[in-house]
Amino acid sequence: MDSIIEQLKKEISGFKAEIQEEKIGTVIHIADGIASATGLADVASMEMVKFDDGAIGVALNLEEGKVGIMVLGEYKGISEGMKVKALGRILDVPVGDEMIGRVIDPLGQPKDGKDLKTEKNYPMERIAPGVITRKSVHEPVQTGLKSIDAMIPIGRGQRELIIGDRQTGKTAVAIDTILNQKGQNMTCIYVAIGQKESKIAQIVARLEKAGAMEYTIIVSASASESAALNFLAPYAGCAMGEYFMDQGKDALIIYDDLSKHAVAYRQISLLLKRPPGREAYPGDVFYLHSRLLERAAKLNEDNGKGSLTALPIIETQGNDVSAYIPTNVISITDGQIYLESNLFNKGFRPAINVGLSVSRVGGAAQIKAMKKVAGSLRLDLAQFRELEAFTQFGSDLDEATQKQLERGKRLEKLLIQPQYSPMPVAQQVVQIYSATNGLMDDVDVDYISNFAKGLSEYVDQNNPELLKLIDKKGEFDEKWEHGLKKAVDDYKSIVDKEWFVEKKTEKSD
Amino acid sequence: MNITPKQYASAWYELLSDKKIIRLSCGQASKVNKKMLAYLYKTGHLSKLAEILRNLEEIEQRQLGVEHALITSAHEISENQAKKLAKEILKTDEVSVRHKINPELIGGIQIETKNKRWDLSIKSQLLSLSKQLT
Repeated sequence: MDSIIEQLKKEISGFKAEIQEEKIGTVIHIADGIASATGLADVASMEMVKFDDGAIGVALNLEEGKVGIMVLGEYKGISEGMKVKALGRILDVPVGDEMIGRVIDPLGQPKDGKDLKTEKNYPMERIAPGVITRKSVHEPVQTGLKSIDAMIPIGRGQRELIIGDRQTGKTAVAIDTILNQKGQNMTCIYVAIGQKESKIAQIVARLEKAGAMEYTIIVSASASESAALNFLAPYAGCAMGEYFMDQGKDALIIYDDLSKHAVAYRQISLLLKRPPGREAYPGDVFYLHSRLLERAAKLNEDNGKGSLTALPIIETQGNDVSAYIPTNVISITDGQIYLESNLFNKGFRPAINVGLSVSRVGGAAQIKAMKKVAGSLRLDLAQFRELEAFTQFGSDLDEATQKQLERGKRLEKLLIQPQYSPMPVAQQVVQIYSATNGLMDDVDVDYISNFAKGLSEYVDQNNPELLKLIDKKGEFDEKWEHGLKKAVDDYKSIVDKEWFVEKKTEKSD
Repeated sequence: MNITPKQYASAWYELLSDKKIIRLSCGQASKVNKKMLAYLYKTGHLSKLAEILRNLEEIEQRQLGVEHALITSAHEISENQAKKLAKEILKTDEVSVRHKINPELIGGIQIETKNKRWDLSIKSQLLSLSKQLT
């Protein structure tokens, strides 16, 4: 007991009151989370300030004689005449491995009520890595979705936009991608911007159930939080991702969604009395997103080989991709995954329009085996779509056309994949190889999904060496092809005859 | 033409500081003020008044070279004492001091100018001590 008191005495006697000069200003106006203050003579742009009631703000508008301050969080306690103190540091956010598995707010504070201790802070706004430090994208991010991994491949360090109307499964694509990163050496960061709290809770529960929270950070700025926090959330998430990139690790960040981010920024800009432009967005709304997405990068060997892959999400209105924000973000990113509501309603889920979706740089990151099978898949599907439109007018078709149509229908069905069931890339190669090489042509279209699923399980149990070769070498040879063909034949001999077209007709005869 | 609050303020100050008017009685100065306010009302710029006055204060301060300081203390102190403290901290002789009492400070004083603050109160020292101990 004595020692504690002694210790306390020592500490208190060691305490020296210092006269500190504080830079202050006076609040002259406060409304809607934006305050203006006079004074604050030497404050810097994006410098943090503290109001006397404890609220934190960021100086955004530096004008002659006054400063426009964005208040972070609650602003009810701030009143006119209150003093505001410059903290002398640029807005930053705590980063570190400790954040993994946690739900945090854009200022780095945990939302689950438990303690969080970190050692490092990173500035929210940072200049993106330069040309010299980068390397072109060459390693894949496996999303586990057949249509994406085959035809719209994503590489580590790429920025791939997920775009589509509401209720088309944009978030589902992102969540499936996170689920598939298990054991892939990837730290995931999911940034929720202006989302419903219930949706965020659902996502966290889903990730926890799948064990994906072990490598995931959720940065959440929900719809009920202020525009300032919504605006800062992606930058905070990006700073956390950059920490892992600087450690030489790979990180994946999902911004869900940047339309709401632009809306939050529009609100702040208008309240700061910056002049509105097209659709009332401020003039720097392009820079808002370009500076954020530029921070996604693949670093070269000299800089630790880390990477930050970005999957921004944009919600369109009425499938209109030519609106202001969608065109901006499309032009910034390295490609887009375009989701369509009519495909979704037809039951093609994920509702990816593979004709309009592109990946400008991901091809270099695809594994060779996938590249081989995806080439014919893409070609077959394109021909199928062309023929499908053409054959709507006539019914007399030659055998070759008929065959191509039937193949196309099967390929379309094959790409359907239920939610939360990402598939390893080797399995994808097996399925797509079988379909594009006609091994599934005799299977009834309605049973393609069942057949493919069964085939995967069969190969996994009876011919695991086929999958191992793809996983190990990323390539296949003639021997592998023979092996697979035999496996498919073996599998066909044990499955239900109902699943086959010809055998069924034989039976009905 | 859009006249900024700063332009209004400097015009106003010029009118008031005109040597002739300064020599004139207080009534004359208030006449200038009345006219100015009437003009602002007529042009619909009365909403800018707060900012104009702020600018006016700033111009006056700059012209006279006087620093305004607000001294807040927990207990009553004499004006001389307050002035002496302000001079010592601000390191200038030209100080105009206002004095306020705020028992929340517990003890000591706080000196504030437009851009700076020196906190010598017991309250802030206790706060920083508690921060150091936790």
